[in-house]
Amino acid sequence: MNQFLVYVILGLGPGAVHALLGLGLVTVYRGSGVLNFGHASIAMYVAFVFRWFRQEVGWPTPVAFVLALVAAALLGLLVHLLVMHPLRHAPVLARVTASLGLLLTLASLAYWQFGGGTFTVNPFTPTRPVEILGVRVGWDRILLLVVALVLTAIVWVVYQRTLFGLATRAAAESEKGAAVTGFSQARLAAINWMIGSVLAGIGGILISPIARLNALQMSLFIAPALAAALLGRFERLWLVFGGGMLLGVGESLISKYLNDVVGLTATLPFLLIVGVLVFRGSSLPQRGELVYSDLPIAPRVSRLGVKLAVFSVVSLLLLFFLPSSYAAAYTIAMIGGVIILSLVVIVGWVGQISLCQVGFAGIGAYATIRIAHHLGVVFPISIVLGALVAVPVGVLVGLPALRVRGVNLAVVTLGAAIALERMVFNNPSVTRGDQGSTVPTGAGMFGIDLDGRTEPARYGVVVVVALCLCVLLVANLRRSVTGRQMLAVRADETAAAAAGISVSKVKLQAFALSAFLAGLAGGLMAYRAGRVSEQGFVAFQSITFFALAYIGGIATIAGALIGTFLAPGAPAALWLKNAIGSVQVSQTLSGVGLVMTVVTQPDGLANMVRNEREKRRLKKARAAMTQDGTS
Amino acid sequence: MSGGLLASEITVRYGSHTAVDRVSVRVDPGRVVGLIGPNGAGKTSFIDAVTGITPMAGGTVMLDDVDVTRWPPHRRARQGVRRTFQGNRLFDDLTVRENLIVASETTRRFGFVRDLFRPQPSQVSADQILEMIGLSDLAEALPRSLPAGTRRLVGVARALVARPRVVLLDEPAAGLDSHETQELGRILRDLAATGVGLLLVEHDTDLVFRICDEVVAIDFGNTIASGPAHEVRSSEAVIAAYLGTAETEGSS
Repeated sequence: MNQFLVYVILGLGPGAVHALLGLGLVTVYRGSGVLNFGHASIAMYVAFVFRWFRQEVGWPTPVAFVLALVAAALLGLLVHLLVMHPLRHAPVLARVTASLGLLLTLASLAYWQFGGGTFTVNPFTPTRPVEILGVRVGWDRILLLVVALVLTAIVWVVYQRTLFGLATRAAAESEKGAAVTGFSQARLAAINWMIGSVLAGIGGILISPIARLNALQMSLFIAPALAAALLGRFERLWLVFGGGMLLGVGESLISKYLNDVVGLTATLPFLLIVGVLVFRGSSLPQRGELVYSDLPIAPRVSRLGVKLAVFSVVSLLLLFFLPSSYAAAYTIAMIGGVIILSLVVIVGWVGQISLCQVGFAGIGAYATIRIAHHLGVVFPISIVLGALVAVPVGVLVGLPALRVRGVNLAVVTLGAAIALERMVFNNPSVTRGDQGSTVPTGAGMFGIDLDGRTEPARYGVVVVVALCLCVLLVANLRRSVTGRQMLAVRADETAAAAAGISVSKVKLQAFALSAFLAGLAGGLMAYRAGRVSEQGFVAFQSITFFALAYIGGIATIAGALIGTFLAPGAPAALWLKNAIGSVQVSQTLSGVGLVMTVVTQPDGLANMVRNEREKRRLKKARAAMTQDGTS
Repeated sequence: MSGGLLASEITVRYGSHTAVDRVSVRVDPGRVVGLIGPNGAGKTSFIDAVTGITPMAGGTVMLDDVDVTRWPPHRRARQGVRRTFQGNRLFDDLTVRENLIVASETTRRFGFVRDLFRPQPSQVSADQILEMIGLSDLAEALPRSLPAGTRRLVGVARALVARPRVVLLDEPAAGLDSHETQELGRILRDLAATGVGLLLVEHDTDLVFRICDEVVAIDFGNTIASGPAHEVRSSEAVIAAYLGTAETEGSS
């Protein structure tokens, strides 16, 4: 009993941080309508700034604290002014993508400025224990709890009792709502971004002595924070608080009692929240429920042969005329292209946001290796079978999509990606040993050696062919009954159901196909390097691929091909890295470039070409009409 | 029992608010039934319940003597209950023709796997309906590019293409000009003549009383009158609740 209580109390600290981050998320969401996936990254970055002022520069803690929070407010303001304000009329997904870009940018910026690895932060609150209910508790945890409580109370009072709060709540309903109260929407959003970022900063600073600082790990605090905010429907602050505490305590208890199940700590509380969402949801959107269906247009497949021919020729030239390090890297980028294509199906055509694609790739990779070992199946059949193993996983992850939609689904799938990473890919009993992570024999067909390790260019050709075949499958789908049904579901689930389409079936088919394609990518990865490691499938990378798919053109096949040239390993990215001589700097620049691309082309690059063509056609038509008029 | 749609004692609740309270409507094959009532009377909620979009708190829905009360919406649609929406809600990335055929295509088990390798041309033809509604020339257009009245007709056409037993029309004349409304009335009567049952929810009471055989009037979720069109038209409850305001407007 005593032990139980100890672990409950141990969970209060992290719980308070989940609550604080959730609180900031809600503030930003209410004030600007943005679900900020980069929120925990702001917390992380501010905590780094705090540590730097305090431990590197050596200023007193209170000064460092205040300066760090000023930095947080500025950061929030900058994000609003440079990114979210210009995107206020863009599709919701454009803003989600921009916030994912923010996450990537801040994470690599922190790496660059403060260094990779994990940093300790000297405690700044008294850590000596006090006795409560016969349990010895550190002061720092109590302080965290009190801060979270007080801040929640303050924010609650501000939103309930002040004109600013009223205006913010009105703005969340409609832009005009805010105008009625005399506030401009832009200013409200700016202020809420600053408040939200400061709240994130406080959470980040307070947790840093307990959890230690790591750019990537802390950015993924976004998942529990989102879960807490979702529990409170992005509205009820005390429910958010309770959700955060529940997650913290749950994690702590699992680490005590179910410690032998790998990765359960990070997973189970999240699954519980998913359960709540699913329970609360309904199979069709109900009247008054906000449904975002403003995805960029999904054009018919046109000139596919030309596109594929251009892509193949360019790819082959790159593979055989660039130095072999570039060829190997470009092969990685093309495998990324297959993942991006898998996103075109699930996000672009069915409108279901999945942040789990790299998880499916991981399943495909490990399954491919196992199958090759145990069934003695050879390349490339082993890859296809491995990808088939990813299909049921995809359907399982897709099940919540039957009742959860929009950005909520993004949160659920991100949680699934984290669960796969922690429970499967980090699980030694799955991945240990040669049989777990190394292919038995390199790739080869008809006596031709295609081994990715020794013949990178030849293996690159295999990947070109594979990508083109996948594109053909997806293009076929777009032209078929199933493709039409997918686009109908994407446009309007209710109308699709009323038109006799089984919305559930269509969604699960899309998840199945999407997981299959991503699984193929995983198998291709395995044969390229001969082995895989869990670092290849961190949940984080799903976010990168989603962002790339979106800026390429999420609902177009051309977008997937464009995304290939932007993916990690593509010649341009590699050249940038070599030219600068630092991975961190080039990654930061890529992150910034990504955000800027979203800001300037919120419909994606493929549609940019299309829009230009359309404009030219209209101009010509207009010119022809004036000519008719004058003649 | 003679077939058609029989919706009995339909009740819909949103939280503690009862939007539809034990409303019963019968639509026999070939008949046009009007459902009228002021704004917020529960007309759309009734259609949502009958088509399975909104869960019902009570009541049963029978189609051709088959109890479909517990069926999901897409099965009811396939069984022959189709509808239109107030906001049209067309599939914007599909052409007009595709909007129609997607509503009547059926898929086989694992048909989508075959679609990956060999997409089949659609077995369904929308030509006949397109011609009947007068949309043949616009078959390849994208709905976004069409004017509101035409979009509405596409919505009606989409509900008709699968040869339904009964069609529930949610304010099909809203936003149409008087000529288009006339035309719509003619289309609907022609349609009923082919044996389809129609339930017409409409604000334009002229249209309702001109083309409907029977009319049900509801207010605040309750039935206040039902019967042959001319009887409902002269019912005092209806005049008080609904037509009363219309007549005042007309005479002023």
